[in-house]
Amino acid sequence: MAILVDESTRVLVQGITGRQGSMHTLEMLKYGTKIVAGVTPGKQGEKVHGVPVYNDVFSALEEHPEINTSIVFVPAAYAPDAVYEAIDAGIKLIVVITEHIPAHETLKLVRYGKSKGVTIVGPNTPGVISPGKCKVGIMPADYFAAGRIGIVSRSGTLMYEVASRLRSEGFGVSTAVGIGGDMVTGLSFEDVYSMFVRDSETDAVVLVGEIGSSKEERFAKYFSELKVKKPVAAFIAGRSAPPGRRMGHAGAIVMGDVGTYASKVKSLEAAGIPVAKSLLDIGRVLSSVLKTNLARTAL
Amino acid sequence: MILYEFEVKSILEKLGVPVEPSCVVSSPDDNLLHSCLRTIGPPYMVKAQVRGWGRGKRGLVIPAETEDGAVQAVKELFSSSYEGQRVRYVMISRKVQVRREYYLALMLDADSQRILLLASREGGVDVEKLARQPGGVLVQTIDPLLGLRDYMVRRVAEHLGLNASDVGNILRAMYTAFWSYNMILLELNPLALTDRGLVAIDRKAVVDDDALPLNSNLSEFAARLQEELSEVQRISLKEGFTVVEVGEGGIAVVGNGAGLTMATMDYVEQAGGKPGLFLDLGGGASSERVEKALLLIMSLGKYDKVLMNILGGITRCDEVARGILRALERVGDVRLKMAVRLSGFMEEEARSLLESRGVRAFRTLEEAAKEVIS
Repeated sequence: MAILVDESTRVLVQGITGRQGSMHTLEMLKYGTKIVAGVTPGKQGEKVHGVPVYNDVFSALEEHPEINTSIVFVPAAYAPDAVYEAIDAGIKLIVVITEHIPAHETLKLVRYGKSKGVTIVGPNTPGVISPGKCKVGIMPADYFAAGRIGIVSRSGTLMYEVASRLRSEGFGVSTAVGIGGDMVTGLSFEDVYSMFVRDSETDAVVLVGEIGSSKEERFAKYFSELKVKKPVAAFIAGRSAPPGRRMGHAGAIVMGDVGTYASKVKSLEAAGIPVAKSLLDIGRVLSSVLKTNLARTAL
Repeated sequence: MILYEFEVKSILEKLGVPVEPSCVVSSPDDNLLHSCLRTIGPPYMVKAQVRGWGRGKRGLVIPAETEDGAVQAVKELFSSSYEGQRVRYVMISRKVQVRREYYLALMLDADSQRILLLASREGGVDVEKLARQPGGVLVQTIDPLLGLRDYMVRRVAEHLGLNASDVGNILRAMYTAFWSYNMILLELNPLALTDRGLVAIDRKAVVDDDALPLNSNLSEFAARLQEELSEVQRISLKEGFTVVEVGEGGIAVVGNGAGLTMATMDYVEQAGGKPGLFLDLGGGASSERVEKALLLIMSLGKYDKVLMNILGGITRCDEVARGILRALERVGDVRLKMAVRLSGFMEEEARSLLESRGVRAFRTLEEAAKEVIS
């Protein structure tokens, strides 16, 4: 099963002829992802690593009706239009790798996507990987061993770091999802977690957050009110950051009480989610929530 | 980017929001000062222009009854500072007789994925305080696909006890400004009720940095900010990395990606090291970007150790290694202790490049951190 992407995923790459689009098309193909078509306006008839290129999404879908997922590498100025095109063409899962899309544009496209029943991952995300099955993203696949732990992260490279630590401690991943580092994103921690709860191949979830915004606090509140849940272990980056400074991601601005490291840890722990205080502790904290859960199941 | 009050005023004025007469000077000797004071006429409010909040509490807003008083106030404000920054602009406004103060704001709310319209009968204080009182703030959510509807205007007018047509004109102008200038926040605080109707006498706005290169409406404001940047900020902006001075420590922490760099800094601190600088190279860093980042760190002269944590993916480890070597070549003999942790895409190539030149490349963060902490 896994979530979002698996063996049945058939991918369209928007912006396939660009440097990033082309390079990651090759990487995804090597991983075994079934990429069936690409789009770049004006480049119809070309091939990128053997993948046929079309001028627009509608033409690609006419030739390849099996497409069910799109990955977007289009530059920020044109990315919203590419996403609208994919939504209107009927694609139900859109992974937006592009960074620096203005928040107002993202707000509109996320609302539009929701109104059409479309799942948007990102923007500013490394994408989604279900190890051994499918990768729709830019993450180095080597870090992700197949297994039964779900990962949901705001950050890209920190997600790789966490996955690689889990691998070295013997944990594999069912699916890893980067929700994206921007202020506004298509998916929240809650959205992804609820998918993991329904997934028979996921036993527990590692949540990778960071200072700024209220996303982790909101997840904690949601989690504490849930009836059916799977165990969660968390890690929050930014413990040593001075308050109120911008740290690259638009989301990483500490505002008032909410958004600080202390606020996030307090909310998560109050909801019953242990927080690994160091990168080195993630495996240990995850083992402890798995054990507690097994004990509970045994009762 | 936080806009200056006078910039927000000019935006709102163009859109028909009633504002008081005012002018802006950029030095106490500005030629415009005297003609400005005469045109506006007393009494005055003399206000330092700052990129932030809490101006009043810091004595950066001075009322003046006479022209001489205003000239004095202008001088005083130009010799003061705000959060370490000198005051670059001072605005002189006609002081208006206020019968009552209100609060109106629009903000982009990532949680609800809506725009929030906030309105309060009590202006002049900050929104967080207002929000804690029950009924203190009316919160009207606006779906971006729907826009500002008449019922919302009526609701706000009702809450404020004001005429719906006056409030409507202001709200519609605010909503237009919010979209036309990619504002994340727009505040009228206070919106004043005077003998001549509603006047927006103080206003704040934050615009989305990601919109700066894309929205030509913002170019004038972006250019003004550009002039105020420090050398470090200018280089960072140009090269696409993020630099934050985080303390007095001598360790510069460099990584690719904000989350990873923060986590690396956290680890250094927990392991007993003292980080002084945070530098996120961003995604897909070229060797040039890495070189420029290292040269920047060295030029600051405050850091004697660099810990670099790179997880290759979109970033190639060998590119990073080339950048490191080029930076070291450029400066020749450096007394900079450097520990590099590399992992992922092109890791082995990078390791052999670095080690052939005597730079140690570690496989784990723990080993690399130990090298700079010990």
